[in-house]
Amino acid sequence: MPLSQQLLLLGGAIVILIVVVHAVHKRHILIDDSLFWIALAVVLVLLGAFPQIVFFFANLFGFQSAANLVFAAITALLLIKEFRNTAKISTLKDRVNQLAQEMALRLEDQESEKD
Amino acid sequence: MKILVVVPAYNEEQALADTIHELTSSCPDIDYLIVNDGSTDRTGDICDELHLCHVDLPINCGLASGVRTGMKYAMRNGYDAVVQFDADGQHVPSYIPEMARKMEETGCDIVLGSRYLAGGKAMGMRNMGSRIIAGLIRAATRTTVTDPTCGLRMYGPKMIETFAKGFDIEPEPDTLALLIRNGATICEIPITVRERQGGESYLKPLRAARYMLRSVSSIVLFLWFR
Repeated sequence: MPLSQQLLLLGGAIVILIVVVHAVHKRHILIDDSLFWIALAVVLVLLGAFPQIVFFFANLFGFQSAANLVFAAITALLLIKEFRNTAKISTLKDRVNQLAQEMALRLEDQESEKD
Repeated sequence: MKILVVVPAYNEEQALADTIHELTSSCPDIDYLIVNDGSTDRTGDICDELHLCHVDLPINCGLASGVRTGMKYAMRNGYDAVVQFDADGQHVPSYIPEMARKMEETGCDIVLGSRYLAGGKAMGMRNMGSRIIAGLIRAATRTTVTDPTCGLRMYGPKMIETFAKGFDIEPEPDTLALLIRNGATICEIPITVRERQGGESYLKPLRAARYMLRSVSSIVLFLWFR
């Protein structure tokens, strides 16, 4: 991997870190939810610092260039993350609906107690 | 001093009744509030049957949200201090008046129970995690917290407001570091805890790993920027 690509990976990792820390500071994201992005930044730093890791796996799976493996791996990772986000949103939808139902029923209970 | 004992309970049908009975007989002047955190077992029914003071969250929201519910209740009803107390019978209620005395004497914002000061130690991995977090808190705040993972804590009025109104303020060690950094004062009293009397812990292995990751990254990365 050429030095320029290594630096690009490192630069990307630093940008992710800055964005995440800023989002936590601005209260746009919970610390629990920031952990994935922190871990991703750490992995990018590792790959930038030790490109041998990428070469090893590129050879192993028969990729023509190391950069292709990085693309493929990150695409796969983001697809997984996107799916998990969809699952999470589904759960949240269900929880909001449950809350609305519970609230309506409890208010009804209160009112019938008053009568 | 008007004290509220907040008891978050998620599926604690086995131990809850005994825990509350011990609490009320040991500290009859102290109010308590059970926060039934969307339990799927008989926790809610037990509260109703025994007429225990409780609120029911309609869905399971986790420990932090349970404690926060208690903090909001304390704020609305003008309490001076909130004690976080486990429903599973691990905590000994007779320490609560002692914590209150300590808070009044020293005027500090948080009184922490410390198993370590009493000569006790968590075993193995748990102890190691606890020591790492204690080291990080010391490095970040220059304050020594001997037992940062202990669950028995008393919070003063300023902290009640912080918990009730704050964003992402969880009753966890990293929050402790954040509060100290923002000027909260702490002191500790030696306590011993018992084995849990029933139910399942919030802290299973996978969750324990996540807990460590959160604590460490939160103290190391975010403390200065929150």
